[in-house]
Amino acid sequence: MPMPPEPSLRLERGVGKPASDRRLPLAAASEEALRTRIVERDERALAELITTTTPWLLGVARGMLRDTDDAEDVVMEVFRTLWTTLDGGGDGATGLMPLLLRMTRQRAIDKLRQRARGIRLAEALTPGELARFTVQPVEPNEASQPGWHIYLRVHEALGALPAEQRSAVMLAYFDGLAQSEIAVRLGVPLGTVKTRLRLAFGKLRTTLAPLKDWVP
Amino acid sequence: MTAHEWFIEHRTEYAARVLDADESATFASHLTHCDACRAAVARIEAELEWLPMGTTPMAPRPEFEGRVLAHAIRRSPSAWRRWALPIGIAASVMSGFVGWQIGQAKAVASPPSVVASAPDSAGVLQLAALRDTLSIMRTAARVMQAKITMQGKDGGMVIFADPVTHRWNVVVHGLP
Repeated sequence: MPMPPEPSLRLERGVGKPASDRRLPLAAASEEALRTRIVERDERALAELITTTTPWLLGVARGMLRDTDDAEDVVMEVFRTLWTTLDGGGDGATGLMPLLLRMTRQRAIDKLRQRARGIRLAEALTPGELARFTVQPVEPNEASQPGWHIYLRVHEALGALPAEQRSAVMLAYFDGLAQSEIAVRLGVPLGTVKTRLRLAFGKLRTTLAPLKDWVP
Repeated sequence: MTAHEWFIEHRTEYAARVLDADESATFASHLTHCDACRAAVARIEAELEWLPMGTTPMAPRPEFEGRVLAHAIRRSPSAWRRWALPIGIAASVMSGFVGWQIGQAKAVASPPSVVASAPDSAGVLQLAALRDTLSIMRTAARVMQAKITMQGKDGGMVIFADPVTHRWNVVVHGLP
């Protein structure tokens, strides 16, 4: 089987960028206060959180689902769940943004798996699809974007992976595919996918674990 | 490989949600009675918590953030708009009353420290409410300001929109 071309370091899933002047900071120092206000049912605090984080959550959901309406449904349900379930305990050790990212990704995976997966399983990646794993150049006006430095660090970490590991991670993490589906998509044995993912996640855990704060 | 070794080997795959559905269900069941695996999975999830940020952000469509807020607090946008003004007026009348009370307190030369020395008093709570209102007004787009004379006293009313919650607020001041 011919090997697919190596993906370039570029990841472009969004259809637009948020306007920087609309974003509010969500520094780690203020995150605790925001969480407290949300636990106390302060709707204004929830509105601040929505304004700050929605572009990122929409990006995650849209990237996985490839459908803006479905992505919006996911994000709406995530905030609904957060508003109704967040309390002072439980996930208190997890920052609000990581918690929202996790909830968004999980809901997107659930939605993906509700769809007819047989169609996706039968599809092999084309060279054109592989080419979408790319990273956009940084634009100066985005440097002040809350979370942008984390975006860059994640891309650096992904860019440092060997191409075959990066493809596997992106299909797993950003497309929401399971290992067996990735094997079909890449046209490689399941054991090979497992090895690539294990190596890649090991490196990513080491690289990304020190990232803590939403705002540098 | 023992059964538990299989779980140890697949902790990262489970934490990253890349196991196939049946394997994932098996792992989830195992976590209910294995503290070591549960702790390990939690640690891996924390280490990879920023990985979804590899996706480019997407600008929300107009009105989407308002819909998210309305959905989260289970209010339809139409119902929200229908009730926003009456609620705002009621809240503002209360704020105006609080402001009047504060003014009265100053008029009789009660030092601010008297209020501050009773942190549990209603006056402190009212002051906090007033400060909150003023902080919103600082960032709001003012819509209308009107002078009102009532019972020989001059006061006024400000109607403004909160750009974050998309609520209308009304503040009455200086009236009996």
